[in-house]
Formats: sequence, structure tokens, C-alpha cells
Amino acid sequence: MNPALAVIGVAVLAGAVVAVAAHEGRPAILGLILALIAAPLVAAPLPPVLPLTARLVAAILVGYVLWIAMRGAPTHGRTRGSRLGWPVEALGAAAAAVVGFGLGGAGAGGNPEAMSVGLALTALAIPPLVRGDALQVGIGTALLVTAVEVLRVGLAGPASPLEHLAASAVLAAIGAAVALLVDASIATGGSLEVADRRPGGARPADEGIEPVRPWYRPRLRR
Amino acid sequence: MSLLPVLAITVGGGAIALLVRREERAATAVAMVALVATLAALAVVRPGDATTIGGVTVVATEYGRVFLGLGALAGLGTTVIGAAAGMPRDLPAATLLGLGAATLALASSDPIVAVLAAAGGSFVAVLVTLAPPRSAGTTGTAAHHLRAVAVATAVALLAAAWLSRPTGVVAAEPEAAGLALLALATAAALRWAAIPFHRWAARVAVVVPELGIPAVILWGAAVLALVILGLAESSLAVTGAPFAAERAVIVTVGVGALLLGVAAAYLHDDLGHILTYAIVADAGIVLLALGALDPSAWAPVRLWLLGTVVTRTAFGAWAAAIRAAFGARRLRDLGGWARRAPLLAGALLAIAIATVGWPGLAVFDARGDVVAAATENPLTAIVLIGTLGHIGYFARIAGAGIGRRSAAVAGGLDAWPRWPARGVSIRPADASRIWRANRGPMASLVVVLLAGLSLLVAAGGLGGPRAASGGLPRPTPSAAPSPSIVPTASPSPSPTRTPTPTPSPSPTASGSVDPSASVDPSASVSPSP
Repeated sequence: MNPALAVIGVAVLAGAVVAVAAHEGRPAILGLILALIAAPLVAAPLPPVLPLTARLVAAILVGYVLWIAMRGAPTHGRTRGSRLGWPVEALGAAAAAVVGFGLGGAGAGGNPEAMSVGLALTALAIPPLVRGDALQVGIGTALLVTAVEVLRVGLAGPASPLEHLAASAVLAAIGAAVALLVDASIATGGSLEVADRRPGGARPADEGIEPVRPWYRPRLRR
Repeated sequence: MSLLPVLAITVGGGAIALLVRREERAATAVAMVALVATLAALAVVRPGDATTIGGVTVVATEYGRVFLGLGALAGLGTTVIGAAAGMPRDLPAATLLGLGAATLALASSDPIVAVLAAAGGSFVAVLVTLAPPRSAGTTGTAAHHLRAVAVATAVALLAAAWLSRPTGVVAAEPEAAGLALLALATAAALRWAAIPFHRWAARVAVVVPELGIPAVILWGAAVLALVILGLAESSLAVTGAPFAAERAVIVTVGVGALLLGVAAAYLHDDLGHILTYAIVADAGIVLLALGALDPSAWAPVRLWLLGTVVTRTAFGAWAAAIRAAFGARRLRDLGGWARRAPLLAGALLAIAIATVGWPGLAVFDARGDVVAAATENPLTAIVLIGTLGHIGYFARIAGAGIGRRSAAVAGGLDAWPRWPARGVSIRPADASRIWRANRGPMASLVVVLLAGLSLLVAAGGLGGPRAASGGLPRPTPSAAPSPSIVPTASPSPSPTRTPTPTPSPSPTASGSVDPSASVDPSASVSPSP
């Protein structure tokens, strides 16, 4: 085991645990930023400086736009974090990490540390992805894509610089989409809950056709 | 190198359009200028021109040029219609950024970069789903959309990482390669919203205006499908493994998606849903091509994809123009529309022909080739008859058009151009008045042009068949084979599989995989599932 990669991996998972377990938006965003910044470092050899900088900028950008979107959130940006608490999330991640390490870099040129971190990140990313909370869906999405990128290093070796740039662009796109989702949730529902998961199970009337939104411009009529 | 201007214009234009998104006119103008510039830049792209960016070879292909050109033309058409009839706020920016992502995805020789690029374009499309005015269900729909794209991206990336290793290593683990094939199919089905993964798309049909539906569901899915098909062609088909069970599952889902999608489109009354389920049915053809895993299906499915993306975009534009003219999107409210809007009636006829076609028409034959490669009679006949089911919903729409005139149609816009008022002349100061008075006819005219474009592509115009037979860049294996995995002998010899593929110890610079080096010519892949 490479001790440096192990330390970085622990940092990635610590950030991810905070991101998925926190019940307030800002700690969750800070945890996400930590996980996104440290994840590309789980590789041997380390990526070149320029792609690494792009990943760093993308991670900060994701956190920044989410931070801005959360400014309008009521009740201190309360989000639907893990109901089981961070110890359970951390233990689940640790179990997945052990399994990943056991796979031992299943692919040619891969490395077991990356497999370990990637599998643990995947385990952490799935629960928030299915929660009915805009910020949690965004955290799950960003973590899942990052997890698969780390798993890919575990399977097939270090990523190319262009791959890092492409991953940075994907993260930026996710950040923009999630920030808009958070903003829309707050604007339409006054909270981070997405509309089809309101308490009480009531679903909005959008499963049928009515009401049709008059998006066309009425001034077209004479 | 000649692709770089295309990349710069689309990404730069998209970013600017996103930055000025609150000023709709400015964003629309930026998008139009950028799309025209994209077309100009594509005109000077030289197929075969390769350059290395960040350690990855990026190759311009004829197919990529045609696909992007059609995307730019369709984007320009939808932007003009949107300016005339209204559109989701971020549609111009998403169109440009999606084109930029497609440029990289279709030119990259690294499949993982290609998947990431396709994913980037798909994530940007979420902005269209979230565009105002936001109804109660917008956030739920966007969350579903985001989840679908995220899971499809994750699954496709994992499969691409597994398959991007040398062919010999992949061939030595047929069970894992079969799982990778299933993963690729799952990613394509999820992203394209094939039944049973269509729930998010059904919700998109409710909250996204018709003009934005192809951009949200189809274009990104088509790019990802092309990447996935290219990966299957270069990494799985050449292994020679039969993958019989996996292919049977994929073909079954494909047939189901196609037949059920067509049936759902026929049963729905709402134009947005009809368009969405028509797109859902199209996913079946992609899955059939993937399930065929046969060289005879690759070029036809690429050609069919060219026709489909343009035809569905034209259909969405048609629905948007209808809604702008009459303020309705249900067939029951659109009685007599064809008599009131003859231009749009002609456009619908062209779109229907481009969708269904007839023997001899390039897209019709391509679809038939894909179905024949994936199935055997009598299933082939059933599926081919099922593909003709598209006639059903077009007939329903046409039937409403010649029926009794409804109140919405009677109170709708006049389809013909008119002069706004006396004293108005052709000068810059009056241009906006003339434009405002004629936005309906202008939208109809652009719909006709888009329908004509779809007909042209369906007939094999614009070099589609030649471009489709050329294909996309071959993936570059990204890792050296591990001594612990490279087989010295086949672990479980199969009569239909090449027993001892010899992996190259170090990937070549070009990265091309020579099928003849790893496939026994006698070990052909059976086309039946």
C-alpha cells in the first residue's frame, strides 16, 4: 500500500462523509469541495500541474455556485442529510474501501488504492442521489461522477490530461445544473425539497397534462 | 487542428450566451452568430486531420462533420423559431455547449474522454429543464433528469474504462466483457429514456416546451449512443465472443422499447408526449444495433442516427410552431389546424415521410438493416411492421388537422405574412414591427426548412451514407496489459471465440485495433440473439 495515497484517500472519504451526512448546507458543501479537490490526487504518478489546476478550479467553482445558490435557503440551509448519521456512513464507506482494496486494481495498470477510494465514494454517493432534496441530489451526482473517475484510475491507470480537463468541464456543468436546481427548489417550494417528494406524499399535478403552461407569447395574437 | 475553431466557437459562444442569459435577445443573437460561425468553421474542417491535445489524439471525421453541421443547422432553426414563438431561456446556450461537447466526443480517440464529453453536454441540458417559468413539478423533473444522466454517465464510464484496455485482455475475460456490453446498453437506454427507463422523459414532456424536448432528451443521447456503439465496435465485436445471453437481453429490451414507444406515442393526445414517446421508440433501434454486435449494423445505425436527430428536431419545431399559433398542444383542441396552417401541414407530411420512409429511402433501408442484423424472422417482420407504427400518430395528428375547426384554432394566428400597418416601410427602424407582425409565418417557414432538411438527410443527402460508412475515430487502448491478466492460453476455450488473442505489449501510437489480428474469420458473430 502506498501510504501517501492512503492518506489522500482518507481525506477524500472524510470530505464525502461530511457532504452526505451533514444536515446543514454549508458544511455539506465544504465536505464536497474537499472530496472533489483531493480525488484526482488518488493516482500514481500524480497528474501534471495544469490538469490538476483545472480540477481544483472546477471543484472550487462547484462549491462556490452551490454556496451562492444556498444563500436564499431558509432555516440556515437545512438539507436532508443522512438519517443514520456520519458514523454509519463512514463505516459503510470503510467496508466498501476494504472490498475495493481487495479487488487490487482489477485492471491492467490500475492501482488498489484508487479502487478502494472509488468504491467507497460510490457507496457514499448513491444514498444522497435518491433523496428528495436538491442539494443532496447534486452532491450525489458530483460524488458519483468523481467516484467513477477514481474507479477508472483503479481499473486502467492514470488519466490523460485531456481526461482531467473533460472531467473538470463535467463537474462545472454539474455545478451549474445543481445550483439552478437548488435555486428553483427554494423559489418554488421555499425549501430544498424537490417537488415530487413533499412530506405527506402529495404529488404535484404534473403527472397528467393539466395545467398546460402558457409558455408561448400571448402577444403573438392579434 | 481544424476542429479547434469549431470547439472554440461552440464552447465560447455557449458560455457567452449563458452569461447573458437574462437578456434573452442578446443570448439569442449570440447563439445565432455562433451557430453561423460554427457552420463556417465546419466547412473548412478536413476529415482525417488529427491533433494531440492533452495526450489524446483528436481526429476530425467526415461523419463528425456532417453530424455537427446538422446539429448547427437544427440549432439555428430552433433558435429562430424560438425567437419568433418563444423558447426555454437557456436553450441557445445549451445547444451551443452541447455541440461543443459533441465535437470533442465524436473526435476523441480516447473512449473515456468521449464519454465524459458526451456527459458534459447532457448535464448542460438540465438547464433547459429548469428554465423558467417554473411550475411545481419542475424541480422534481430536473432531479429525475439529473439522476438519469448521472447514472448513465457512471455506468458508461465504468464500461469504457474496462473496455479501453488492450483487446487481448478484454477478450480473455468474456464474462466481464459481457457485463460491460450490458453496462453500455444500460447507459444508452437510460440516457435515451428507453422503456422501462423512460419515466424522467415522460416528466420532461410535461415541463419542457416542445422546442426544447429534442435538445433535452435526444441530442445528448445520440452523441452518447455513437460513442457507445463505437466502443462496442472496436472493443467487443473484435473479441469474437458470442455474448449470446447479453445480446438476447439487449435485443429484447430494444424491441420492447420500440414497440411500446410507438404505441404510447399513438395513444397520447398531447403533442409534447407524442414527440417524447416517438424519441423513446427510437431508442429501440440503437439498442438493436448494440444487440446485433455485427459489422453490418454499424454504418446503418450511424446513418439512421443522422436522420433521426434532424427529423425529431423538426417535429419538435413543428409542435412549437403549432402551439405558438393556436395556443394548444392537445389534439382535441387542434381540430382543423391543417386548413388554417397549410405550411405546417406540408411540413408535417415531410417529417412523417422522413420518419417512416419507404424502401429505397436511405434511412428506411438503414433501419431495416439494423433490425435484420439484430433479429431473425419472424421477429424481424414484427419489428419492421412495428417501425411503421409511426404512421399511426402522424395519421392522428393529420386527422385532427382536417377535422372540425376548434375554438383554439379559430382564434389562432393567421398563417400568412402580413404588413403591420400603413406607413410602415422596409427600413431598419420598422424592421422590428415587421418581424413582430410576421413571427408566426416566419416560424412556419423555418419549420418547413427543417422538415425539408430532414427529408434530405432521410434520402441520403449531404453525404450521409458515405460519412456513416467512414465512422468515428478508433479508440486508443490506454493501459499496458498486466502480466497477471494477459492469458497465455484461453482459460475456457469456446468454439466461437478466438482462443489466443495476443495483446500488444505497448499500445501503438495510432491506437487502431486490427480486427484481423484478434478475430478468427470463421468465428463470425451470429446475428440472432
